[in-house]
Amino acid sequence: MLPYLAAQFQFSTSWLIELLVFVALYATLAASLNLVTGFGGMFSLGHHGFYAVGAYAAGFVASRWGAVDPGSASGLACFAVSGVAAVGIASLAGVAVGLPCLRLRGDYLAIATLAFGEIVRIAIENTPALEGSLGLYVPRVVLDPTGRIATFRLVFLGIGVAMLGVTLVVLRNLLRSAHGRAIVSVREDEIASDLLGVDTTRYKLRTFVLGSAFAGLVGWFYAHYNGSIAPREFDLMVGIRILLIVVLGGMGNLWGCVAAAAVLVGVERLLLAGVFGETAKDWMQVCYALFLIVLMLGGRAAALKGLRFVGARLGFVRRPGTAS
Amino acid sequence: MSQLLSYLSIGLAVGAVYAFVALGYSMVYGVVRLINFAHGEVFMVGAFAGYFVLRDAGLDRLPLPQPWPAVAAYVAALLVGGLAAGLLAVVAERVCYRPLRRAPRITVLLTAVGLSMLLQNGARQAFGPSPREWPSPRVFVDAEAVPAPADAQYYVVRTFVSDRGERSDHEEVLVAAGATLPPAARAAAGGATVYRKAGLSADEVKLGVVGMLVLATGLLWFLVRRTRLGKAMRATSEDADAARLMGVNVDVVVSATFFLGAVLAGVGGVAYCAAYGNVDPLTGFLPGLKAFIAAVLGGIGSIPGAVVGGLLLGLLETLFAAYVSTQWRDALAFVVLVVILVVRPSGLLGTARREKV
Amino acid sequence: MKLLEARGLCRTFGGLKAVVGVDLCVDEREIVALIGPNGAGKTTCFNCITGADVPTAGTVTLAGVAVRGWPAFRLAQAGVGRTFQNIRLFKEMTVLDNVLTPATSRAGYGWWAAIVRSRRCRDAEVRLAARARALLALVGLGSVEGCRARELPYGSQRRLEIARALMLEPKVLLLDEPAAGMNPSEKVELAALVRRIRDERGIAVLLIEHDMKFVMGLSERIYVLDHGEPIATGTPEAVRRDPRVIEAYLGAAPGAT
Repeated sequence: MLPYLAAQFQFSTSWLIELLVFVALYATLAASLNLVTGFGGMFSLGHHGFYAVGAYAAGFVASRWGAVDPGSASGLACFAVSGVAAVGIASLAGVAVGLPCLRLRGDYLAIATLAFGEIVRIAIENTPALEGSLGLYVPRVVLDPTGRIATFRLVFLGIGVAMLGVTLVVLRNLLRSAHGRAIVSVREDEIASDLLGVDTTRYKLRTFVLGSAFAGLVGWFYAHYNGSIAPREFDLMVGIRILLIVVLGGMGNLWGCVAAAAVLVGVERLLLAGVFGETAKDWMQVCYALFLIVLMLGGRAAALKGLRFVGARLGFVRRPGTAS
Repeated sequence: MSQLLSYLSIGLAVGAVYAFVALGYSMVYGVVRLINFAHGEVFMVGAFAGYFVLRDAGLDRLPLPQPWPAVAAYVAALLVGGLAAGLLAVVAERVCYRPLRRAPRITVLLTAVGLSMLLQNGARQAFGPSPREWPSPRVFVDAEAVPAPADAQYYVVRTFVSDRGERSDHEEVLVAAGATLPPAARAAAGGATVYRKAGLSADEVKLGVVGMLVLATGLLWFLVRRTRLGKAMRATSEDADAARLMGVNVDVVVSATFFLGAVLAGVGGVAYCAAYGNVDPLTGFLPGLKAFIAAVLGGIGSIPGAVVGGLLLGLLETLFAAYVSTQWRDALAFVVLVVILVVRPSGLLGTARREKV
Repeated sequence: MKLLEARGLCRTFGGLKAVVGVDLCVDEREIVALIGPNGAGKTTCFNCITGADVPTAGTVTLAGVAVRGWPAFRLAQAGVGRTFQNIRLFKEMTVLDNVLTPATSRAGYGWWAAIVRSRRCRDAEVRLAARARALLALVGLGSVEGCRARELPYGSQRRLEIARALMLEPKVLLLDEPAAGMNPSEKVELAALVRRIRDERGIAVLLIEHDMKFVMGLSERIYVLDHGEPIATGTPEAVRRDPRVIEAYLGAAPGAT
């Protein structure tokens, strides 16, 4: 099946590299959400809001930096500074949202964070300095992609993989430590944890802020990769996509995020490329929703079995990079 | 002063729509402790059902004196909208929520989110993403005995065939304007029935919505306080297992609750789209979210709370839009949500629940 | 100076007076019991003392320091350990991790050290694990340290809760119905364990229990509550013969007013 597909649709190396870039991007986002929701037990439906905040912080810095040669010292400085801005401002947003909302119970927290995601979108659209729904143009500071798309994407793939790697290492080390145990204990039984000496409020807030900081980092990455950002690219669908990856990969399973991101992003890009036909493209959103429902109703085990079944039918006997 | 009154009346009407939808959220939460994320989409489906009734059922052709055909058309639209929404909710509950009665909270929440997305995108596939103009009941020129207002506009319906051979449906074409239809225009219409649109005035819509809310609240109060079903609903919301042991058919109670809540939302949907003049697959998203916020504001699980919350939110939002800023109007609802969750999470009329250590 | 003292403790919920005017104290190295029929307000007292709840009135002092109104985690860090009436283990965490968790505040390294896994972090982890293993050995759960808490049988779960509470190095240990659901031989082992905790580690114990034999055999002093009020206090022998206690548990004798 695979050779046939390759011949039919002429997958360029460049297309494949971009697919991997987005796998890294979404895997990082999913890992950061997994920290908050899977390990921390806090249902956040507004994670895409922090992603947006980070992207816009970075984009704003870059757009105001002044004319710069991509790859020059000034350009790389802009790259670094915009990264710091993205992480910093996303963290602040995490504090602003976390302080009032983290005392809320599961369902309410989910809706409150969802509301935050919406507020961010509305705020961006109504702030003239951020160009609203037209999109903010982010000047190239690392590399100019004109004429060498594949190289550009390859460079960013490297950055993306580094970003993912750092995130995974940081999270794994944290979760293996005493502080990680405290975070998980809050998820398991917040009252008991409190009565056993864990400052649950502080741990919840810190976890939430760390998650939002990483989301902001991914936003910085995306802004520089894409060259322009618009509120539409940070809508609820994105948030659902991230959550879906976390659930599919397993809440509380970091490596699962990577595998699930590969599957979801891979399938989505294939659909968008028209591999399964034009009608499949139109119905993609509907299928997403159906998949989510089936996943919830049947449980992860059933959904994975279903995926394997579909995969076998399509000629992929084993899903690549599965870590079950 | 009259400006303020005008804004207040708009706020009440908007608030009434929110209240209709908020009632559904509160009732469902009260009985199954579930935030029915897909409730906004039920609102949208009800609106679409009403749209099709108004557009195609032809009730405005009834041989009755004006304004009764228009009234009949609207009543039918409201009934059908409510019923369609109600049926959808019952099916959704049976298929998606009932199997998850004992499942962890996040599973149920995500299912609701998935259902909401499914309905939104399904509607988008079925009806197309662009907004459709809300049909005004038509007054047919031949049947008209009362003189038309001076600014009346006359239309005919034509179907067009485009270059690619596609038929478009129900394109309205303006043929004339004025208090009377010129004979030349009628001749040019060539046999197609000419009509003018007799939409409801803004005040009529507002009055209608608020009136319906009062009626609905009264009926609900009666249902909950004076009927067996109402008692069963209250019992189930206190303790479903105990209610089951006492002989209450919890499944029926839950389905009935979903049905009632959705009927109200469907009615609200028709009213909302009639007021704003258009309907599209995403119509339900923002009002649904705001109605949820209204339910939380009033105290989720509390029926009077939903009404109070809805009206209050509608008023706040309209006044804010009028006196502060229209652009940020949508953000106000979310700010209200955060404030109420921080200051008084159980809502204005709700009761706090304690967890036993 | 008493180690733990509660005076005039009151807790009302709306119209319900759960606890009214309760005086409790626990001295160092004492084993004290709090008994009473169901609904007497015993767990509510525990909640007020441990910070899970704030008393409506009254004072609580720990080693002479007034601690009423302190957040629960601060009280725990100050030396008040507890177990729960309905087991509240961290079900998905391993047995060892359950015991390790309360030591977070004494871990000795911060988030940054954890992230880079510095020398300090690794040494601290080794130290903590050793201490946790010693506690597991004390309660007899050394062989199951890698199992998930939810996989343990009921009796073992109760013992795990005790080991977990001890990780904080508490000055006083509050046990809420530790023998519930255990068979007689398990109860004998539990009583021996409680005595060992007091003898070897110098920890005072305040326990709630329904099993009279267990309570009488283990505790040095007993407080009796009924409907939120204290009705008797003293040695086991004195309490056993107190007519008010008998009435509270068994009802008034026939013929009495």
